[in-house]
Amino acid sequence: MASIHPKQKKRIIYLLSSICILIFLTPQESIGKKNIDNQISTLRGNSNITSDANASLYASLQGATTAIKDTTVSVSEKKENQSEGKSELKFSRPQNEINRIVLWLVGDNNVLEFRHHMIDFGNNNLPLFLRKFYIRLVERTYTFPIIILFLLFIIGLVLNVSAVLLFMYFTNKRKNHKERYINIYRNSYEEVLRSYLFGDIEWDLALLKLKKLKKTLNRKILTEVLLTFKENLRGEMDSQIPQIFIKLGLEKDSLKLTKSVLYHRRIEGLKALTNLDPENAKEIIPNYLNDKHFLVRTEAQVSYVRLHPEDPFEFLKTLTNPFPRWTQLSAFYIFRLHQVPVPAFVDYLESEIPTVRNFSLRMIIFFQQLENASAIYRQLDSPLEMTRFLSIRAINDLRLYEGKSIIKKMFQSETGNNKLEIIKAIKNIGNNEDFDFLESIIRSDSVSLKTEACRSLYYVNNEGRERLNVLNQNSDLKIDQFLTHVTDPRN
Amino acid sequence: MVKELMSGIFENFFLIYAICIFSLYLWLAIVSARELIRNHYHTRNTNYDAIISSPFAPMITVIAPAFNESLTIVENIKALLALYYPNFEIVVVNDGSKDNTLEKAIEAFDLEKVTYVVDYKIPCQEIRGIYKSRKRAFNNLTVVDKFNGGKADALNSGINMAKGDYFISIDVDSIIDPYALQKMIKPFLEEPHRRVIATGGVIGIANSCKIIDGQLIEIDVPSNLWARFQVIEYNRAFLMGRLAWSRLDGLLLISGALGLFDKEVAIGCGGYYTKTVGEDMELVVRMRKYMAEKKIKYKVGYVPDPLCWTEVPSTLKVLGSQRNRWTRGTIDTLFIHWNIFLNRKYGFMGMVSHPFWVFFEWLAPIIEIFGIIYFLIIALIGSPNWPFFYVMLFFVYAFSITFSTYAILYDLLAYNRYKKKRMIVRLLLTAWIEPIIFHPLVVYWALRGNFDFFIRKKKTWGNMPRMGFANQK
Repeated sequence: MASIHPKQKKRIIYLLSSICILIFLTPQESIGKKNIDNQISTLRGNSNITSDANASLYASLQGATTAIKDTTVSVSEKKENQSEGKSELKFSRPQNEINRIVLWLVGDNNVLEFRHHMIDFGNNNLPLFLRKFYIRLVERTYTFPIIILFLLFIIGLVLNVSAVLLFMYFTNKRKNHKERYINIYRNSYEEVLRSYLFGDIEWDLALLKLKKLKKTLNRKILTEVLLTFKENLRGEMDSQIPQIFIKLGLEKDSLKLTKSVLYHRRIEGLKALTNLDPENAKEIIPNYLNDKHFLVRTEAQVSYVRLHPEDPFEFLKTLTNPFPRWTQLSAFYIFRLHQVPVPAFVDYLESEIPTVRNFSLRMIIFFQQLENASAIYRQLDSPLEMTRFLSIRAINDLRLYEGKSIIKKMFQSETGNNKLEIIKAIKNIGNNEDFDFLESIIRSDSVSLKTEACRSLYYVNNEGRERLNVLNQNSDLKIDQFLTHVTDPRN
Repeated sequence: MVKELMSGIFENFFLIYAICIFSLYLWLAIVSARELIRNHYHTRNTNYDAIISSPFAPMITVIAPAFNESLTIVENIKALLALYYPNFEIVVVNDGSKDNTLEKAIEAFDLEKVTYVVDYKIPCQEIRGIYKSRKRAFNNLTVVDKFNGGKADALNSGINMAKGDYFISIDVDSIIDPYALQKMIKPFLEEPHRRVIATGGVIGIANSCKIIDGQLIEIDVPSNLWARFQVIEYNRAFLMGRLAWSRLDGLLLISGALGLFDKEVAIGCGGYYTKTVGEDMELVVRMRKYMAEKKIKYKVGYVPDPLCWTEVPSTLKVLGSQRNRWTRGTIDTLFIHWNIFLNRKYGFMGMVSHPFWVFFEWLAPIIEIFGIIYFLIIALIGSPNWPFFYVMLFFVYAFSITFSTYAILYDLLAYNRYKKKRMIVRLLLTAWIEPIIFHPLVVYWALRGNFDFFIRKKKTWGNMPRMGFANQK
């Protein structure tokens, strides 16, 4: 177990003393016990009941007739309570019996005592303006016998749980009903649109068959059907689908959705417009490229890639937010799915946003854009580890032989991951000049660097292999073990 | 006078404590509700095809420690191989099993021993052998055979073998959702301002579920009462607790059954601590501490989807032993990292999460038992305030079942896992009796855990025999 630092000790002592102070500051129920006992005895002895509440409780204890009498006395004595007059309770015989049992069970003193504690608590702790209401509330509560309080509590609980159960029941029912409704209309719309697209029926007839189109939900279903059709149909029909979307005025709904304060609705609108009304989408998408919500931005950026095949990543120049990897993956997915022409990613290498620079490097590597060598070398000076890592990888994957000397110079000052990447690069762009460099790494302590250096030396050329054999024979570096490791194709 | 003073202090302390704990749980439930709604829309607008078909998907290593798992090892590895992700490897670590776990795996996957160099970045027990399959289809499978060193040690050797930038630690006998990797990696990829160091997921209870070939086919409410109690408990913990903590950036625990971690950070802070039985929580706390000390902005993510299904204990003996271990693990972690406690340097974790765990997770059962003892003394020698007692008792009961009912509601709205009405009714009935039957036992086991930790200095796991999924339904 870790020992406690003196500073920690101080903090614990401070916390404990704060708790103690807090406890002392709160009203001490027991301290006022004697006074309360006196009050109770006074109450009992003189029938000096200060409110209807006590009276009713006392009545429960002493018996109905006397108590009600006492209550009447107290009502006449206290004008305030008289004016309210609502709290006077008359109990029937069975009720009294129940109260008598309950009060016997819980102890009459305790009921009164508890009430006093609550009033004391209010007097001591609550601000003046609240005190009056609080005390009235307590007194009102205590006009009821304790059994009713318990019953109220139980009812409250049962109501709460019942509400949850009802909510569960109706939610489930609503969900199922909605699902059924959507299925029925989806099937119906699909059938009608299919018939129209395949030329079986005319537009007028199709329009007649598309029922309940005034309802928002139905328009939403129809938009979804059109989106599915657009995704799956090609050729002449592909161009007909957006026309239907506009003919039915569904683009107005989507435009309205893009202005919603709810981000998921904005996404819904953007999606529909991108696929079914590209002209409108082209106009409004730039407004959402820097939206405050990450998912809306992603949707807009992905849509931009799709709608601007001439320069799909132009928006990167105006981006004010980072371009996270998830958005990069999404944009790349759409880019490939719709076979958008590949732009020159070197244009974005000078972006002020590091994630944009990293994305450009990834794309340069993937699309083997060899003409960008000098821009890549500049990225080797980046303060960000990931950018340098990707630049080294680019030098390796694009076989930029001129970059070798730069990355070799960087080696000593680099992080572990980047060192590994440099050694991996030497495997592909290295030659006999690099043998000493690799051997020095093999003689180092790091197992992972050593393994990678062995791999590079082995695969750089036949002379490298010979050098490894010599090293194996003339040293205790256990090179053979490393060789078995690196030459296994599964590794 | 002293007696009155003492009773005043005690009574006020118990009252303040109860108010604090109820208020905090209520607050967490509200935060969770908001987070569930947010997650619903978030998931609806996410296209996972982007990562499934991407050459840029980061590599993930799935580390599955196995100890005496001969009955299920083959099915479990097959299920792992079927995970739906473009770039992953599986490292199964046979932690010195005494049965034929290794032999079964060798036979089923045509494994051969290979001579690989192991970089012991994190110290662990010696590796006896590394096995790779002769079949190309299983190229991403590596089986490591090592001397027994416990789960944490097995995970450390798995990390040493891992090639991925991220690793996911799982219980080999759990069922992982085929889409778990793509869902769990997402928080790492969408956070541009902070480094995500770990993500956890919701653990579902697989007792009584229909499982074929390591795949979950049909979900059902456990027929065993103890397992059913745990369904309620897990719902509360995952949907009303951890979800809120993750939103507040104060999550300290990622379940050992499923957690995805940044390998570099895990290695940087020394990997799993082998001398504790709460290695899952300890790693998360240490990783957070490491990041805070390095002054790097970080985040611990949480995916509120049931991505892993596990078999929970269905006998009192095993359940008691598990809870005992959990308690010891919690205390151990809290004390190992005691310097976090109310330390502003560690931000929300230091000022809120750690103190919360100290006061309301570790000390809760102790304070509860002290409250009961105090009440019994008062009842015997004095005159207890009976109405107050009844009101409080009833309030606690009411709060507890309302909380559980809401947990069931959250589950229904978020996942609709238990679709049939009879399932919901069974769960609700279980929730109603849970505070009377299950809760006292949980308190007892927690106290035993405290006793074992402080008095007996017990540091072992204890046995956790499982029925296995092989013949389920």
